[in-house]
Amino acid sequence: MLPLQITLGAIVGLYASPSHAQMLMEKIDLKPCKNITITSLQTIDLTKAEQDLICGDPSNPGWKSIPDKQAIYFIKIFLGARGYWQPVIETNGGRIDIDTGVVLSMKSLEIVNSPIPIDVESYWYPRGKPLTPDLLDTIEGWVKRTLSKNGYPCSATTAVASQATGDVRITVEAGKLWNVSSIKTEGVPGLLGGVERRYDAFNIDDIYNSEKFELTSQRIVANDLAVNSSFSPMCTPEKDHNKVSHALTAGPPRMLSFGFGFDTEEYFVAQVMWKNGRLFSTGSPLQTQASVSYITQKVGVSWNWYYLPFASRHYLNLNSSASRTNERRYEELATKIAALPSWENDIANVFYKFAVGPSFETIETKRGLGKDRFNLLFWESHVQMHTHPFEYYQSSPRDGHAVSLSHRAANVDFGSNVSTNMWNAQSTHLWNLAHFDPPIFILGLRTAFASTSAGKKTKPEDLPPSFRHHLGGVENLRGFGRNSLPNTDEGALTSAYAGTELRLNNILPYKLQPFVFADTAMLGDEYLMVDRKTQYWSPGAGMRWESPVGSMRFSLAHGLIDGEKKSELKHQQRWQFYFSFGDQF
Amino acid sequence: MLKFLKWLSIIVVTLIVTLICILVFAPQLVISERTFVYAVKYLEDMDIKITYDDLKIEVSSDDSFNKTLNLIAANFCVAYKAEINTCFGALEAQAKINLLGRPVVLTEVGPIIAQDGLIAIKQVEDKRIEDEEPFDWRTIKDFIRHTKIRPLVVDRTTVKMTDLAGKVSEANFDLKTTQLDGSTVELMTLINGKGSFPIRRLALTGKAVDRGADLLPNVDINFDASTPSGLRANAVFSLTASDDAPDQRSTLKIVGNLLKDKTQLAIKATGSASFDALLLDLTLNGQGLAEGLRKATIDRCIIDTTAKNDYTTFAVQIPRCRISLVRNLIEKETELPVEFPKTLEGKFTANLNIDVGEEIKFTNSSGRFDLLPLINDLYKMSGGLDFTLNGALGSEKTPDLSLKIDSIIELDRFEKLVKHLENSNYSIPAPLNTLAGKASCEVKGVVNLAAETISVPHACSINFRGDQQALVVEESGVFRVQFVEGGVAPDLQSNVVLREITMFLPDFRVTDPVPKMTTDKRFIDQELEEYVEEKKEELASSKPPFSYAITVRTAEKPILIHTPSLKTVVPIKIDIALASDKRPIGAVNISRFDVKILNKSLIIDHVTVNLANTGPNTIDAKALIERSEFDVIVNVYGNLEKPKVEITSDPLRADSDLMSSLMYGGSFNDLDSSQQKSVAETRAAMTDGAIGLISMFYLATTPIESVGYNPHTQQFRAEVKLGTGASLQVGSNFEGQSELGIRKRLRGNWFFETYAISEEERSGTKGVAMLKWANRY
Repeated sequence: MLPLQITLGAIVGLYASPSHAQMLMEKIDLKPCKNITITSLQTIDLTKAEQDLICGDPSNPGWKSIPDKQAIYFIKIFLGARGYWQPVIETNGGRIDIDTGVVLSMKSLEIVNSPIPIDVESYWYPRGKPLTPDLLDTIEGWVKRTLSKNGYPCSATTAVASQATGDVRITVEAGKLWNVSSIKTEGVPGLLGGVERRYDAFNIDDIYNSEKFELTSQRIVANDLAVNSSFSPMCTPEKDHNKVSHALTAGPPRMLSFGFGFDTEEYFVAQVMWKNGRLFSTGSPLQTQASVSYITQKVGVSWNWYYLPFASRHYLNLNSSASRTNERRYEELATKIAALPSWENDIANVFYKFAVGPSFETIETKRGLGKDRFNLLFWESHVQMHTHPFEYYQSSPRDGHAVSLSHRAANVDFGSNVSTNMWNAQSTHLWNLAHFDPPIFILGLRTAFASTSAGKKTKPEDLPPSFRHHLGGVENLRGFGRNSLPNTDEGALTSAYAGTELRLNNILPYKLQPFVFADTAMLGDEYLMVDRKTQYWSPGAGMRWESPVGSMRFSLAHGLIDGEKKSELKHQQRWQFYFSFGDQF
Repeated sequence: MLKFLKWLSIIVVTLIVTLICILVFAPQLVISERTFVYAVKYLEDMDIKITYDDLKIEVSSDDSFNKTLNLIAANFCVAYKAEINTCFGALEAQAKINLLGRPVVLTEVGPIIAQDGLIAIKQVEDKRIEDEEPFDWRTIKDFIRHTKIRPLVVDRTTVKMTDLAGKVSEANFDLKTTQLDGSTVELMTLINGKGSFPIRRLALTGKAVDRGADLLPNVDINFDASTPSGLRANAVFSLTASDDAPDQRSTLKIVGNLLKDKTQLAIKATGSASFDALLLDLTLNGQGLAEGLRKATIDRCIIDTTAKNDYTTFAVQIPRCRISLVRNLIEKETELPVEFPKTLEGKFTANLNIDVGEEIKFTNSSGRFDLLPLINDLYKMSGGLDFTLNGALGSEKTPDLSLKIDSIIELDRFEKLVKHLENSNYSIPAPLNTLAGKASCEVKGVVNLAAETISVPHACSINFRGDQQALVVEESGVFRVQFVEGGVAPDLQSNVVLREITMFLPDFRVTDPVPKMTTDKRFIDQELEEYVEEKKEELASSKPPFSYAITVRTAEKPILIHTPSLKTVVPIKIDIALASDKRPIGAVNISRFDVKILNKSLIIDHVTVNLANTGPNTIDAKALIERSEFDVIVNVYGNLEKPKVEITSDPLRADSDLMSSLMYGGSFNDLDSSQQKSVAETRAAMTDGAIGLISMFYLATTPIESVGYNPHTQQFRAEVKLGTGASLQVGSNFEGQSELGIRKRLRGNWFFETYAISEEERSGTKGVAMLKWANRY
């Protein structure tokens, strides 16, 4: 690990430390007023208020004249705020010449008196950056946040930074270790008390972890129970220690919206939506939505009905939809109705969701393979698990694991006109290599496995086109066109995919994150079997940009085919460029 | 019975007469070796022990009442407790007594020849017994009052001294007086110390010529001494008969020097002396006498002393005395732009009555010291003090010494001082540097130095005015010095009245971040290790505190702070008490004023900060924001460091609507999700008391872009939208939690939204970007 850290340190240092670059630059003179010259390697932009304090403000009776000594005092403060701690100041016959010197970079960080080990070596962020009061605030915030994640939410810190060396020492007064004893909240008006607890990522008596509280708030807002949720440790008075206050801003429960825009698969899309995030006293979210794009037109309603007369994490997911899909290979009309009892829970550091129940689907194939009309009574089972860090950092993935498995089964003997078993398993794994904080190298591994069987009294060609599997596109094999593998309408009955990606974070400016990746996949014409004789590869590179309007990804990869079908599918081996937004990995 | 008394009286009288006859005619029968043994036993009760190997006492009669005693002894030792033990191998002593004195007086001592002596002195801890009667030296004084000293020889004698630690040092001691002729006696004394003996060398030579009982003798004495610590003293004293002098006074001359390291004291005195009068013209020159005092001179000081009442009372008149004190320059004083007086000169007169009976006692004594005025371009200083002194020195009760002080230092033109200091390191900072006027400080009152606490009353005033600004302050109080065990404890009691203060703040426009005007104490200009060591040392060295109790209050007129950026005047009244051993207590009250920034109007109804001696300092503030539909009332209260903020309205509206109205000018439901989040986080920050007053002010007066609050680090950040299109950040940076999707409000209910969706049946997610109209209800 050490060599890696040294290399990274060099990279970070080159980027962050301005001193080397400064040595090569010419000095710039700034004259905020007649008698003062500030010479620096970088432009010093003084605000008007700062300029007035240095040069005087003729319109202000008290501040029209600033003595040299006072002006120098203020200049030192203003330069310090920009990281210039060792200016050389010369006064000569009423003239003040200031050479700002170089920006002092933060050299080392020491944390004293912490009750928990804090790995300052991995906290590379401030190192090499200009040592300013703002940076010191950031470091103190990081220390407090680290303590807050590890049971000490009411800590206090005292920072000392050496202007001579750039060394920083943070002395911690951590207070007592907290085990969460109770949550004090007024709840959401109109709902059963404790409803909001169904999103808790923590348990009572757990050691305090601020991230789990923030995650709980994320869930509450994402599920429209409230427009804002905020947990605060009750640091004072002391008798309230271990108690956490939970403030909720409910906002109106209903929302009507319509809009138009683009998505990465269907391009132009228009949408109308109505939802009520808090139906009935159990706060059961109901959503109806109609969307129109060139590929899909869909209307649907979904309701997570918390039907038990008390606060619970169990609900009945009722959903129905009608849609028309016009893909390149097929066109179908589908309706679906489902009732899936669902259970959610958090155990230790993992979220679990389990849903099982019947659904009924009708599919009418207008164009493409398979029967013209299908009636399908499915028995669906879904299992989903992910770790809390995976969920917490979903917007900027860096750590954690997620696994999901779903199974849908239909049988000609139970109200369906085809028999089929459909399996879909996915997993995502993210590692923050070397545990840098914030992360520098994020390694991701994504796997997907899907298989559809043609069961009793059913031939594979009887299955609807949407039950068949194709690969290619931004979601899996990025070196191939969208759903271009296999290049037949029949598709495959089984697909397996694994992709790895190494992303460089927090190093380039403007939140640019370059990445390299390699995707591989196999297809199979049999149920639960892949054809190992042909492998599909997509090595490539790209750039992720956390733009002010969301994350965007650009990727360029080359499709490669290895094995029996290499010569047959040679024409599909080419460069493929993708642009997408919203995708996190 | 009468018969018995008669015979008893006859017997007693007969015995007394017989004893007197024996003393007169055969004293050897009373004073002999045998009776000496009884005397030795009597002395043992006084802790004086006398031993000897061989003793012979002879008594002879010069006449009926004058007797001569001769004592010859070998190994004669006198010991006092364990402290002094003096032994001489051979001792011959002669003394003459007069039996007619009342009581018997010693008329002559000597010659005495003491040889092969050892004087052993042992230092012991002072364990004085409470009820122990001090020895009454008056009995000795009467006994030796008219004693003449005849030749005295102490030869081949060693002085051995043992200190408390048991360390022994010694010195050779020789003393010899020689009678040159009938009236002239010569004295020679020499001590040569070895090792750590407290005297390195002492030589005292002199000559005295007896001029009869009614005249002072002529005396010439030379004294020269040195100690191992480097102290050296020498003096020449002469008393010479002057026939021309009135009252047959003798002329007196003293010239002496005292030297140690850099300390020098030279004394020169001339004058005349008689049995009952002494007139001295004294000059003293001292250097390095005290820290900070370079030179002290008492010049031509006339001291006229007259003895009264059998030499127990003296009247001392000092009609003229010039005193000059030259101080050392303090560090870097030469760099100071203002020259402070280095020499204080004054005149001293006094009239003292001193009784030197059993103790030295002053009665009806008084004097005056006048400081010669110091005047320069910038200031003038003058003053003086009268003193009275009554009481005894050395007694349990300190003599009553009181000073009546009347001195003043005046600064006539503050603007001159401003100008003078303008380009120096000590320039008067803005906004004070535009003021002009005068200031003075007066020390006036009576100080009783005998009291346990010495109090020096003083009063200062400042009356500065300038272009629309004013600083009028009065201060009065007492500087006290208390004598406590182990030293003194200075203490300042002061009352400051702010009569009129009108000042301008810098013009901090809301379009700029407010610059920090004070240095960030977290940044130190040394290496961390040095700093830590220094801090440890600071903690370890507990210097005696300078205690103070200062009250500061505004008079009828409040302090007026002009804030050009807000185009308003903030009226402040304060009434606080500061004490060195307590937290500040009192109240700071800001009265109603209006603010208008970027088209938002705000009325600060009041702000009261209560400083409590115990518990947290509290704030109580109320602000009003007038809106077209309702007025928003902001109450800030509770702990000053973490104030609670409560928002109400008239008529009453929901909390979230009030906050959103305050921040965004609309109802909560009209806000986009990021704005709603900002409102909600601001409320959370308010609940936690994490919003500083400045941030609160910005929130209430400026258009808000966004607010972020992290309850776990209690860091609050607000981005304020400025008219110029830029934004200003208030509060601290912190690592906020990024959102899953982005939702930006464009106008009204229109938003731009990006998000990712995932469906359970399909793998992966897809991104969506939409222009959306949305309305919550």
